[in-house]
Amino acid sequence: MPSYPKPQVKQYHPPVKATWWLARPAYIKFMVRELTSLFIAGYAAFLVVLMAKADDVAAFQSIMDALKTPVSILLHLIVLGFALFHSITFFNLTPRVLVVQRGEDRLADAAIAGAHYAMWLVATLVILFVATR
Amino acid sequence: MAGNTGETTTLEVFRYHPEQDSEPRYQTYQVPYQKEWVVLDALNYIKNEIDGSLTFRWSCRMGVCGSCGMMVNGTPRLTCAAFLKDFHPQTIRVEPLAHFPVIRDLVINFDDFINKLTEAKAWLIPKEEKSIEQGEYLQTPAQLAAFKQYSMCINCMLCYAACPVYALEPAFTGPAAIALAQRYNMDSRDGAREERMNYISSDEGVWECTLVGECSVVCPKHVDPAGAIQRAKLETAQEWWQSMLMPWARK
Repeated sequence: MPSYPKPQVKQYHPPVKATWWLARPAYIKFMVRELTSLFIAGYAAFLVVLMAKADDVAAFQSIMDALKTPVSILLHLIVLGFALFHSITFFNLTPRVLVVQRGEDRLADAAIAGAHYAMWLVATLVILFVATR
Repeated sequence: MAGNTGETTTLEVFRYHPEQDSEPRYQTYQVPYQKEWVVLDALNYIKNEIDGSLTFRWSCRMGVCGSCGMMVNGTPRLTCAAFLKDFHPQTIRVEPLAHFPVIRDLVINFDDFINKLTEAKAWLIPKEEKSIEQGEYLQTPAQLAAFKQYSMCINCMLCYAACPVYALEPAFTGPAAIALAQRYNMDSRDGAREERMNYISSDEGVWECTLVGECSVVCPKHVDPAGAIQRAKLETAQEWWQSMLMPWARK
């Protein structure tokens, strides 16, 4: 096949602004979703510290007392909000990734997302049962 | 003119003529407001009646050819499907598709996308070549349903204009090329899945995607390229684990 030289034309390359993620509401939602990982990681680190102090009765009790302060409860509510936002958006995406084809039809999105929510509920109940035993 | 109300609507159009302009500029045009008109009709009115130097691509006027994609008020749209009545009396800002170099006015350079389609081998490579005498490559409706959604892609590149990952990392294979690679990977008649997967599972392939998801939102054909990319991630991850845990088992 003959190859032809490409015409050299001056082109305009639009710059990508640092504020690109403010351009569309969906981009902001995406960035918030990425941000949730910081809160989840932070809370995981807190749980590790808590477990490490489990044998030290005095230190454990002082953490427990600190957890009952209004500031701590507010922080927990913020982390809970981010965790729920992350989990719900994650589960809602599962039908896009797990496509189960039955003949010519796909298994309904609600069935796939619903199965994930059901597993979430079961896991939560098991953890609550073990924790409050 | 049918539907002419005597009103006008304002278009603010991105202009860039490389011979004269070092930077793009915006030019404002008044066009008759007709509720059955789309943005492409307004652009053609400008071209025919006001300013013949305005340059843009278009062809079919019915959402099939995929050549009239532009940014309409900041959102990637097929201008043949963006009705003036959905914006009127607001000013409509028309710009070339984002994240591509601009050649002139609303015309972008999409060489990069074409190269990626070629790399992704976005065409059918039959498992076995058949002569005409041997007949057609048959397929059941269920086999067709497995990939049909991805075959609806019209290469309009709206998904690339919606993808911030492509803007930040131009080497990213991108939504449509991956969705089309998956379209052929999932085709029961095809035999080149491994070659395509090597390309789309590379560093610049599916793993660049952070699932912003806007590619699927703007897709005029409901292809869901974001879904296609996540499915490819799942497949490549499964195959990697399988090769690690069961190296003796062939894919």
